[in-house]
Amino acid sequence: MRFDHNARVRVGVILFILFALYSNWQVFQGSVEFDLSFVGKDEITQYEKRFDVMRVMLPEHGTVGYAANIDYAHYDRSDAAALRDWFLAQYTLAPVMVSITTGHKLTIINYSGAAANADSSDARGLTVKELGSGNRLFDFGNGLRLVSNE
Amino acid sequence: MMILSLLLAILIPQIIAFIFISTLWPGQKPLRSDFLLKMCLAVGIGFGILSCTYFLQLLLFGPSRGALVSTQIALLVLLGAALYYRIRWKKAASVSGIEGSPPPVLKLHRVLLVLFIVALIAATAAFVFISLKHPHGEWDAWAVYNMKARFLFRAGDYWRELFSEPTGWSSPDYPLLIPATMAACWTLMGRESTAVPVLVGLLFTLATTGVLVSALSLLRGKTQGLFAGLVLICTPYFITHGANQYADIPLGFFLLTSIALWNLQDRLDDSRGRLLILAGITTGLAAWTKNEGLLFLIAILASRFVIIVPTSGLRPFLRQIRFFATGLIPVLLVVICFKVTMAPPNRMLFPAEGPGVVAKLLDFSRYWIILVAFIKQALSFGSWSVSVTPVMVFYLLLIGVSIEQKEKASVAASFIALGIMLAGYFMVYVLSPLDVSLHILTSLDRVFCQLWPIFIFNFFLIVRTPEQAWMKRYALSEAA
Repeated sequence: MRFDHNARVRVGVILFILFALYSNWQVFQGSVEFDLSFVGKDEITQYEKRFDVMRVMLPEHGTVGYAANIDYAHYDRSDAAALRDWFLAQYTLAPVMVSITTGHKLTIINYSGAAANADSSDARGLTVKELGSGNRLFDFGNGLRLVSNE
Repeated sequence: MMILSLLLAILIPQIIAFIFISTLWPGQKPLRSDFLLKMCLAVGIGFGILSCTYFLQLLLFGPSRGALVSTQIALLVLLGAALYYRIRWKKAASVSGIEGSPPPVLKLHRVLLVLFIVALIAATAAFVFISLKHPHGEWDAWAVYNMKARFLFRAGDYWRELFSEPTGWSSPDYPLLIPATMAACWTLMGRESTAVPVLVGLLFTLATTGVLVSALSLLRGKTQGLFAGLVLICTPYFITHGANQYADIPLGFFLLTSIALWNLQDRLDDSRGRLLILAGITTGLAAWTKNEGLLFLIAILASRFVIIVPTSGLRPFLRQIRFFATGLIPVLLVVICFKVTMAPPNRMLFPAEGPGVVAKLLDFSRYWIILVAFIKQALSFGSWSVSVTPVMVFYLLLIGVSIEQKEKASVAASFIALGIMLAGYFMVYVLSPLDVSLHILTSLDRVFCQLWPIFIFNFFLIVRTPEQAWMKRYALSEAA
């Protein structure tokens, strides 16, 4: 069988097109869902809602503390989940600066994941606890706490 | 009401940019000629102008919705008047008049057009669904770009506090095109919406494909343009990464448009260098998108110097650079203004600790790790079902290479620029203060994604078009 130049070009073009379209189909198939019940229920939207009750107690701008198991000097080498929680808290609360440095009037304590679920299971809402020396702990019952020394 | 304000906030910067581009565009019908290319260019240039005016307004006068709206209206009126003057009085050569593109083989062209449209719709649908699942984007999007956008929009007069955090996790030295674009759109709308970052990402993704298709159509014919566009729009990583709302796709857009505009200018019989002014703007906007854009500026200048000066001397080079600088300098001044007044030193270039520059340069194990990673990435990039690299090599060998004599300098400059970018990224990893393997693992695919549109552009610039391949056969048979 003679496989001439024209046929080779045709085969090359067709194979290349089929190869591209197959990948296109895979992305389409992997992304498109006809049940749209997931809309608005993504992880970050849910995460942000946890902060709604706390937001009213925070200043409109300025810096608040954030207690987390993150090494200030080498934060990029810290636990990825703890980093993610910190960055998400900053994303949620901007333009308030959420800092892992100490010495702030307000400090956020954020138990996310399993700790947050266990904490929120009793659904007790906001509770306030006096810690002495003018410090108060606001527990929002959803894994979020706020320590105030004002 | 919200949809109308969203559409206006997104469309007005595009209309301003379209009028601006049309005013500069060579041709006797500046509005209608090369409509698709100008429309796609308008996406990036529109958001670029919007973000620059927004940042300058914040810096000089503080936040004000009224002032931003007034600026947009003033730009619209002024540029509209300039375009009217241009249409009424000026005439020039047309980009569409480029010679040398073989006529398309109609059947293949039509089939490719249909397949491209189908692939475009499928990719857009995939993009929309990924965005519905993750409206805030992925890690870098919400942790860096969207967080900064929220900060700029919500903080009012306290927006400078964004740069007060001493640690570098939010990359405070990163330029502000993406965050400022989103904050400016929200300001124009008067409210915040996750639809803005999604639409910005979608428009940049589609516009990159549009620039590739339309520029290559002008340079190498419509079939070649559609073929290149099909490869880009079918690259799975390109679509998913666009939907992740990272800045790599917008950066890739500006790199591609700059290279494409230089190539179009080289083919154009027009001594006024209007497209180089636009190329200067898009190169400046690349530097306003990410720090890598500054490397691209060096790559463009060096590649042009190497190609032009040894053969034609310094004068033609300086002439081209004069036009290029006309577009570049205003945007570069905004970048410099940001770097001088707001941005802290870059943590990659000026690390607080770790081995010194010389120690890292002399550590040859780093070079080996990076080289292996680059080769692996080149073979696996794009999340294709099968590696695209051997497919492209196979296609190249099958169809062959065709570069016309008059195109050789342009094509060589494009490849040199791409090579300088790759070499620059390589050296960034060599000098990285982070763990090299971890740094590569978390960023190399994104770095390749920035260069992927240029790579496809260069590839289809040198590979024969199907028409040329068929004509070669007829030429051979006639000769026999």
